[in-house]
Amino acid sequence: MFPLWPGVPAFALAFAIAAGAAGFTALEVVALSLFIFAGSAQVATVALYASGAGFIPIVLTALLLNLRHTFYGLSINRWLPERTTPPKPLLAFFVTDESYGMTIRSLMARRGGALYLFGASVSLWLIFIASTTLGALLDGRLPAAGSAGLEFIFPLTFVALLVPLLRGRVELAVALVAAVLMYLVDGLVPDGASIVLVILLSAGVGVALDERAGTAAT
Amino acid sequence: MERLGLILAVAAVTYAARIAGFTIDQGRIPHRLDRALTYVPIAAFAALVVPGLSDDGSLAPVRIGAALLAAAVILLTRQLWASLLAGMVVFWLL
Repeated sequence: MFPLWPGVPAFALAFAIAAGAAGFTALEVVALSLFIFAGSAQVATVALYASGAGFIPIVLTALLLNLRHTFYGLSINRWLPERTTPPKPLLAFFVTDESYGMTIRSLMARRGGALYLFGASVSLWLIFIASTTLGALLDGRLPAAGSAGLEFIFPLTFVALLVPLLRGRVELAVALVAAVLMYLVDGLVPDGASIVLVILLSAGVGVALDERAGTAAT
Repeated sequence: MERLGLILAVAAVTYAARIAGFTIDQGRIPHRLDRALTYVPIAAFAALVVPGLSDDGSLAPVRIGAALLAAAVILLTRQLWASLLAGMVVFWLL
């Protein structure tokens, strides 16, 4: 029924072990999954913190990464009645890439609804928390040689999240611009704020390329 | 304590982004912003990869090679765990 489940424990385990290696305590690692429940923002938060970025740039990066959830909400909300059970403020907490994907398919097929979204999301959340907890408990019990360089899971995670999104030329261009810009400006702006600038500039380049392609086509 | 504050702040902006979708009026989102937001994750992930590819301030070929392998594995298998595992194994062995 929910084909995306197997990927969730693997991601949460890898995240928890790497976050532990980056200096977060077991409780903090579990708190990240419990309260944030957004994998990519959690990895970004821990990776940026470990690289010495400041509070504001980390929170802004997480906000930018999570703005897509606003669009998931808008898209789902169109199919829902004004009042739902469970209520929308509760539903909203659990919106993720995975639960959105599952929910919108069932809504468009005229089955499912608020309760389906809630069930799918809460079960993902529980699995996510359980796997994070397991990973957090494993940290420190692994052989010392094995935990050296574990933080390298972070860049690998970003690669694995990025590659499936590169569906066209503009997407590829945005990724290249962002990587090159980051390489050039990293460390130039204090407090790790360069990441926020790079995200905004590169997304802007994507829109500009879109509009050029749009005018060329007409 | 500092890290807990950070976690709660990130949780707060994440929830704000989520609840906004259920409360704001659909028509009030400009088309350009909508387009820009589809590129934000791509830009963010690409930028976030970069610092992890260098070792002591200079680009490390082993890290780049492992990242390219991880990219190839996710393309072929679509399995996140397979991609992470392949990248880590190469990184540890070299």
